[in-house]
Amino acid sequence: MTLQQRVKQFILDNFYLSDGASLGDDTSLIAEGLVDSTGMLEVIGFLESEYGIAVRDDETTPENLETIGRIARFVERKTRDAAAS
Amino acid sequence: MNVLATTSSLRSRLRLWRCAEVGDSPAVTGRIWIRGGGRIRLGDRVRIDAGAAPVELHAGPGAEIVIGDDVHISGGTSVEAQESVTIGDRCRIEAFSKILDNHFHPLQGDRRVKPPSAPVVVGADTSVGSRAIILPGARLPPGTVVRPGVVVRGPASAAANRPAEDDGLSSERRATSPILRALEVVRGDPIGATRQALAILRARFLFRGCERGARLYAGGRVRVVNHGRILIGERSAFVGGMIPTELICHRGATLEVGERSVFNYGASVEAYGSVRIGRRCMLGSSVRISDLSPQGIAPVVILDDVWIAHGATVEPGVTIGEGSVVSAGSVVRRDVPPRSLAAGNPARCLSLGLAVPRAARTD
Repeated sequence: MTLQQRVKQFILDNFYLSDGASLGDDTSLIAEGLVDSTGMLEVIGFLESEYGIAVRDDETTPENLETIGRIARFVERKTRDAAAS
Repeated sequence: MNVLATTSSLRSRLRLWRCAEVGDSPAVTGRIWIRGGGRIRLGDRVRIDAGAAPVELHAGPGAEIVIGDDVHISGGTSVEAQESVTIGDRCRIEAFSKILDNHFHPLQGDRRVKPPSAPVVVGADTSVGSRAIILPGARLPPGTVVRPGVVVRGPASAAANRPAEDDGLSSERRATSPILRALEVVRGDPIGATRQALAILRARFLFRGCERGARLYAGGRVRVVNHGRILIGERSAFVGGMIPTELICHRGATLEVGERSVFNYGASVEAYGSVRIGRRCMLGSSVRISDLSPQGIAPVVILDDVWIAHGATVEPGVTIGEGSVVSAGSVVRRDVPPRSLAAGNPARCLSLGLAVPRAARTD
């Protein structure tokens, strides 16, 4: 399963979605009301435990986490940085 | 029927006279605050034990609170409805818990505009532990056990994240909300004007030993203990309610509050060294801020436009950035960046941009 698929599966398993098919890599999780603020904290907790990364407070921005595509790119970057250091 | 039982039931009924309906054999001990112009309906054999701390039932104009048969409510609890809160039969609501159907302020934008309500339903036979918070939109199935201190929120799509809508009632409701009334300029309203004048006089008396700006407002009891230096900026407001608000400044310490900040009832700020609260901040009911830890004194800094919601605790040494929001019941141990939402115990932070749908953003 790709990173995108795993994140999508987590969201489908944990939040009320009427139609899973409408959840694309570029769907805004926030604007569509799919995930609220506490839900977003759960998503961050999932990323940390699943991928062994630490998300800093200043990284919790829409640029990094608003869509599944952005989350995947963010996690890839974090794991790459962690491996490099 | 036994005479003693009859008189105690009569006394309870007298205390509940503001409720629209009261069932058989109510039992009320202590002080009960019934507020707002809405309807409150109590079932049979409801017990309210406010012996140690008051209980508040607040139904705003057009709103309704329905409490079922054999419900027990302990002291310090507050139930606030702007639209509808329903508590099922045989529920137990423990001490100092809070149930509300409106967040009262949006996360971003003009925080004086009240967001839409999301009705709360507490199913029958539910027990709500002490200091638990039931947020707007929550629907607890029958028999739920809410552990002490737990925060229950509604679904993601509930009012929490929706932008404020003009429901046609907002101006009327705005006028009746004590916080906003505290901030509003009086126009042709003699009762409101008198109340406002009294609150301003009360503030002058209460804060007489403090360095204070003009037009401070104290709508209720405030306990001020000043052995150091308390500075309060102009037009700051202490809303008042069932528990006094508290400002304590120890010898050699400084407690500073910026202009136009608002304190709800039961908020408690204590300075042993330095606590600074910025301009236009809002402290919710039962918020606690202190700068003394077992490791010593560590200053607390709350920057401008911060909203700390009901029941949150800010620990010593913490700085909260401009425009940030601390969600209800959170415990903040680390610094909060600007324009962030801090939630949980210990609190984690999230950029407000991730907490507010784009339509509701102002940036």
